[in-house]
Amino acid sequence: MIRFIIGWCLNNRLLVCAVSIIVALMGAWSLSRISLDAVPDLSDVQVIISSEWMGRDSQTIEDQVTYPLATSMLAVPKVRDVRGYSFFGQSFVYVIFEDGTDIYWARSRVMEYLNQAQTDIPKDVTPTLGPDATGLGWVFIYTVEDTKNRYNLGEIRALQDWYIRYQLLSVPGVSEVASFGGDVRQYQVTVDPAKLLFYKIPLQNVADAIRKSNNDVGGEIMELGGTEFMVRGRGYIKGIKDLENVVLRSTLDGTPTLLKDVALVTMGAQTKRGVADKDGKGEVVAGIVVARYGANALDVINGVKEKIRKISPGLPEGIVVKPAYDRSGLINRAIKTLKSKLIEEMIIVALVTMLFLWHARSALVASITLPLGVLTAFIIMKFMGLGANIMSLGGIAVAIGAMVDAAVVMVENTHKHLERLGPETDERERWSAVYNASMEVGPALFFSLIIITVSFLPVFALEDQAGRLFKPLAYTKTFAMGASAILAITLIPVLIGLFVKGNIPPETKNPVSRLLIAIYKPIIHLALRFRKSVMALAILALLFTYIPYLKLGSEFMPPLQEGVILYMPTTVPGLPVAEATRVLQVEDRLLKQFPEVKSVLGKIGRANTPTDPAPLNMVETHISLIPEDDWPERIVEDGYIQSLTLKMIDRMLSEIALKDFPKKETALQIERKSGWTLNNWIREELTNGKPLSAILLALPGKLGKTVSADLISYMKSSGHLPDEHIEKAVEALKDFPVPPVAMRKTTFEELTKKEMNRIISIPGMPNWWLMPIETRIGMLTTGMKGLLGLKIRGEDLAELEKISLDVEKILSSVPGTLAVSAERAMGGRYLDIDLNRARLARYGITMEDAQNVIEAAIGGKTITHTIEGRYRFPVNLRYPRELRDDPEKLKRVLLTASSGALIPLTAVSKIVMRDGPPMIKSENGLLLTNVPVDIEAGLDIGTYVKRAQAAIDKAIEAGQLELPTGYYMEWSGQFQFMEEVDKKMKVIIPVTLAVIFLLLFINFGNLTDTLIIMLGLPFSVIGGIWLVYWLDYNMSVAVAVGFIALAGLSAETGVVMLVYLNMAFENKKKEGRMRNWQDLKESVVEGAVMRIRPKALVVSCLMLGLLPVMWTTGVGSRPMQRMVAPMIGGLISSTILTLIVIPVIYSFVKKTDATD
Amino acid sequence: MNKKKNTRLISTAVITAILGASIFVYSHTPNKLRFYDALHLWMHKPAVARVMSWIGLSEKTVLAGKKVYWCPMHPQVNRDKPGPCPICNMQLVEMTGAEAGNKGDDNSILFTPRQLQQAGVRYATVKRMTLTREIETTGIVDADERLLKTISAWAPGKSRIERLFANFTGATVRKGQPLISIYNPDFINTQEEYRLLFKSGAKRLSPLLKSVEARLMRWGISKAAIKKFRNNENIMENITIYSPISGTVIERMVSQGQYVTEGTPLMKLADLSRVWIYGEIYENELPLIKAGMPIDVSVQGKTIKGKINFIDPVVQIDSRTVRVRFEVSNKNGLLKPGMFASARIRADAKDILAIPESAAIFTGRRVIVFVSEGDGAIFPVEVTLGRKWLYATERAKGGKGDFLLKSEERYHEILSGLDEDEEVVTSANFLIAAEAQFQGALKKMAPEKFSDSKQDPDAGR
Repeated sequence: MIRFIIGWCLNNRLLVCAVSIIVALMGAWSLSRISLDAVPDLSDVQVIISSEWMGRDSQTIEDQVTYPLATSMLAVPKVRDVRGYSFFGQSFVYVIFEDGTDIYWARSRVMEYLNQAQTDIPKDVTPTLGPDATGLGWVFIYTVEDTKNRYNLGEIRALQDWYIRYQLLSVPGVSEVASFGGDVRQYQVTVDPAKLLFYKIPLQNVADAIRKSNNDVGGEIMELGGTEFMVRGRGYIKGIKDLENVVLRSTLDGTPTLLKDVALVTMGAQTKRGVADKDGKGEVVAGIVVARYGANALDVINGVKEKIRKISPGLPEGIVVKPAYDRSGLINRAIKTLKSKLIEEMIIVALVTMLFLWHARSALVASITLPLGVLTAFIIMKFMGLGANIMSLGGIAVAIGAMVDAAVVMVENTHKHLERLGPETDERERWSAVYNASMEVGPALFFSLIIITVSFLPVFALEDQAGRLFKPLAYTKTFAMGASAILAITLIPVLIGLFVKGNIPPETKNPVSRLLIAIYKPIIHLALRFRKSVMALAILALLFTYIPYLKLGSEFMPPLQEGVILYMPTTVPGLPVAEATRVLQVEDRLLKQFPEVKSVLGKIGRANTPTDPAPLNMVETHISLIPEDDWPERIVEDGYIQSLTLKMIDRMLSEIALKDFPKKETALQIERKSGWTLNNWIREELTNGKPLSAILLALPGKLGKTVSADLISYMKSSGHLPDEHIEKAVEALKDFPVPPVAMRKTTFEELTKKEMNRIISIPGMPNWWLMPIETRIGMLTTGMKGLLGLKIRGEDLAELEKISLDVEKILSSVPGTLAVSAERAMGGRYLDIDLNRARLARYGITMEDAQNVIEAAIGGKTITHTIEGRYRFPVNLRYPRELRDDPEKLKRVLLTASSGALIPLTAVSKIVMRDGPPMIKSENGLLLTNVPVDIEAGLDIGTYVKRAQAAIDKAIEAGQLELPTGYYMEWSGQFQFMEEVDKKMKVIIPVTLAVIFLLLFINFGNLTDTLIIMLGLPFSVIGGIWLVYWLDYNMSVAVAVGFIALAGLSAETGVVMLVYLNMAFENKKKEGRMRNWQDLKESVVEGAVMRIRPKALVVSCLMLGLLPVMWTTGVGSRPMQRMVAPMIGGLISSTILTLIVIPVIYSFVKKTDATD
Repeated sequence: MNKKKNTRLISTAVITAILGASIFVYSHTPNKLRFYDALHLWMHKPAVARVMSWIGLSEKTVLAGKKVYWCPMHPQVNRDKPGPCPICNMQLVEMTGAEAGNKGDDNSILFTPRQLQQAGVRYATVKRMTLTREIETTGIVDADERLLKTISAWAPGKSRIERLFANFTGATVRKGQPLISIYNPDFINTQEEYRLLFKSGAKRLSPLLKSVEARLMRWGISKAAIKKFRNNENIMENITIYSPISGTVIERMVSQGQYVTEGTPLMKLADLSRVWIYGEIYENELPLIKAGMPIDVSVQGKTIKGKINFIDPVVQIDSRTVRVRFEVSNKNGLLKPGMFASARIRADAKDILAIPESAAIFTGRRVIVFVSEGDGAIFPVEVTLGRKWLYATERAKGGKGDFLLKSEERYHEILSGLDEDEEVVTSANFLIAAEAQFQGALKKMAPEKFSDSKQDPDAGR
């Protein structure tokens, strides 16, 4: 079959070439049209139901809205999870569907069930479907800034809400533009209750009067003088004046009472549930562009930017729209990294072939597979709707080395054949040599390429997160490999025939091969002599590898270096807005001081979108960083402490030393006074009873060289130290041999979890360092912030809180915990006005009346919206602040009794402060509390979870933690994915091996050869594990996928080896010289050594082709490196072992064969 | 020769290529992969520990041994190796036996100066001070009851109003000024009777004369005028009623020409040089109110200061209020009865221990105050509050305008838990409470055993 194809193609050279050119052109077209993104869309199919019920507490919302909705959603087909969030005044239900469900199908199903559920919830609550987007769709965040300080925050927010927002919403692919920060302007009608009392007008009437005074009507058509006039009755409230003149009532003699008689009408800001701050300079107005589900992020961002450019001239003077978070940078950088890696790989592979073949044109023929194969892959990607992202391009990147294999071996074999023919050959002889050469290795190579391709297919079995992440990669790798396999048996033979001619340097003249042979020959002889020891050594090496394997940490995915930090500290619930704003500003200001930071956009609380269920105690700050290349060098780790110590000494010299220099002070005292952290050495010295002055003098010796010099200048400039002390210090410095202080760029983790973490230490707000895309994916999938955490489920909030706080305490003392903060299930503070029915009855006040007063007078009630052109502003009615700013005053809020007398609230109620749930979370009908955990830099999730779980188990055993029946906890976040993948891998890996076995068996047709190659596979794992271990990588899906890919590759190298061993063996057998052990040995040596070139060629292409991925730090390189490392390591070990062990095994197996 | 040269050339090329390639590779290798740096890291990092662990010593035995590192600021942090504290980033220190024994006894939380500064912590001193609880209420201006006079027709039978001198409501009258003259046939008859009796001169009739004289006098005729009747031929047709006080006609009940019977009220007079202002106090506020307390009344934007001089002993049935009264002089007549007023009563509490309002944290079950021990040590104290949200009595000077001043600092009365001169935290309280929660410092406090009455914020009052 394959022989037939090769033959046919050689006979139809022109056609093959023409088709190839067409394919290349199509590929180029696809390449230019392909959609770009950083990572494949990883979000679940999710439909959000959001409902608003103003002013209700979370428990009410949970009971009356969220729970009925969530439970009815459980019945929707294909639903996987239903998550409920009940906030103060707001309910969100997140319905998560099974993988692969069509989002619009899902939305209509939810809509159907929502219709039914509507009857179960209060009438004045209207649940609506959220945008067809997820939190991952936050692709672009901008701020609206006033450069000339002419407008207030309310005006800017209005501009954002009613102008900019709608303009950007019109960009294709934008699902929602959400505003946050600034002030939402509203008309505030502040009624004086004393005056209402005087005029005897109930509050309700005021609201009614305003509501009735805000309308425009139409009076149809009137004809006047032959012209048609449209009649309208105009009465929209258009400003404060209109509101002030709203008539409340009129006396019989016509004296009107106007709103201004009883109330003060002002324009003010609505109660905030979210604040935005930029660079710590003050509040700003910001907007989030949410891309539609499945939309191409880059297109959306470019569209939005274009739109901003268009509308900018039309904005009021001084108003500018500035990007604060822009994912396109990441996308472009990621694509750029991968692109350059692809090109580097191609160049390296071409160079390798050049070196081995020593013939430019042959190398060209072999290399042509690469661009053609890649372009073919792009055509299929385009057809399948796959975008280019780090994973899909990565798939091609890991395939490159293998793609060229078949072509290279074929060219090499042709060389060998032509070599045999000698330099003088005619055209026909040459073509037949080409034919023979292709026939000889073609089928086997095609099969080995197919093995590589097919053995990777089990990756498709991955599901959910891992599946969404690795399927694109598996697709592209398969396409590229498939394409190159086809090219190898169609175009390549033709091209070989066309180009490989002229002076072909014989293999024996090739310096590389000669060198290789020279090295290899003695080794193989030695190996064949000590066959048993070799086998034993190999097995020993395999066994020894188990040690580093055990030491490997584990994580789900290596973090994608996004270039943006998401800083998410969270405090306990109940943080007031003013304090939140202040803290946010402090944080942002501190963050902005870092030279690595470009800009900081702080957000606390919610943005106005259902995709953001954040409470007011949660900060979500986007920190944009400058490109990593421009990061300054710092003294990292220990060095940093030293420099801190320097400043500390300075402080001590200026503040303490003067007064208390000779006095002994404890470390703690010094720290408190100086504001710096002492290092351990100083602490020790102090505990040893040395006076501070002595320590100061000895200190320079403990510091680095430059630090010492700095210290001297510090000492001199501080001016507080007697000269002789300074001299002594200098003296001490001179004598001390000091190592240089290492200055280097920080890594991302060091920057966040070490440097920033050190600087920002606001009490009550544990720092949390994340990255936007990664975090949003996690939050979507698990409903929890961060990458790791414990989910505690149960029925009672108070019990859940107790458990979660205990867990928090336990986890905070587990080594490796950077931050842990359990969600306070009952941490909300409530001021309850308990209305007494008996007393209400005595005064003839209905419950509703009393509640209306509480709602309107204390809370402020939105009565209507003014319509002013494009703008809409709410009109809010409430009591003056000074009448409701403390509980004592609330007692005097007046209710109207049936007699008309005014009764204070306190006469019918009791005002009590209580704790309650700030927000209620549920999952599939069961209440839930999360305990998110952040772990230290350099620690892997798997190890940490093991440790933490042990600590929890111990606590349960010791009775410190009680888990009543009906309550259970489980690890969530990346750990959950890891476990799922683990389970999958236990199936996938055997399947992969089975597939390889089957293919080999088909190819070789006998069990012996198949088993020989299968035996080689474990040896490839050795190098993989050792390299992964040496690079300090953790076990992750990427690494696992790398190992799967490695299996295919090492099978291929084995196949190539075996092919030549068999060839030599058969040749000898045919000649009848396979008589004894010596003959077998000779044949093995010949098969192994004399044909080292093609084997070395294949392996070098595979391995060196992967190398460029390892020497980059660009965006997106990390997941690639995790995948490539086991491949490279595995190839090294498998090559060594293939070259030595397979011949040995072969000699074991074939010996009996020969003696028979 | 040629061949040799060739080989040399090739080998040179190969070596150069290898060298070049390795330089290229090295320069492109991330630090971590470079040999030197890798070695450095290897030496530095857990590598040594790994090797140790392979030869049978597990990571734990190597690193942990008997050593425990802890953070003096955050005693709950225990690590088996030195490093920064996860909470405050301070370097962890090795725990000695003594520390291990007594750590955690004290529930104070320690903060680094940096933390205090970033949180924006500020302090105030617990002081004894005079504070005011303000009750805002509505009021109404009324005439002074004691200064009210009603003029009624006292002539027997029917009489006709001949003339109204003060003929409109609100007219100002002086004492002795004629108000009304009425025609009464009885009066004329009586005059006639008197004259006839006088003229008859009968001594035996003198008791009768006396009684007629007394009758006339009761109608308000002066003795002098009566004496005139003796000789006067002209009979006085009308009785003139004179104003008994200087004041205002606050009600005119009759009009000219109207017939009235004896006892009909004709006119109400009030002396408005002093008026009463009533404030309405709800039952629950009564304990705060005492006669003599200062009260500010605002009428039409004008503020008048005074003192409560009477508390109504009866609760108004319909409105459930008790009226408190205060008198004001109204010489210029600006206050009119019926005017609407808002009143603010200042219930002073003298010499009480108080903390600023912002220092108290209401957790729902209890009230917590953070006390600073200095040097960044802060510990939570549970307190019992007395009267809450009291104003400092020192008010801004500014004459009449000071009444609406709202920005004053408010205080809570401390009943127990704090002593005078202790330093309490007044800002960034929330963050400190959060930190305390994270560290479990609040939990370590006395177990909750409070009855319901203590939960009630009313209870303290």
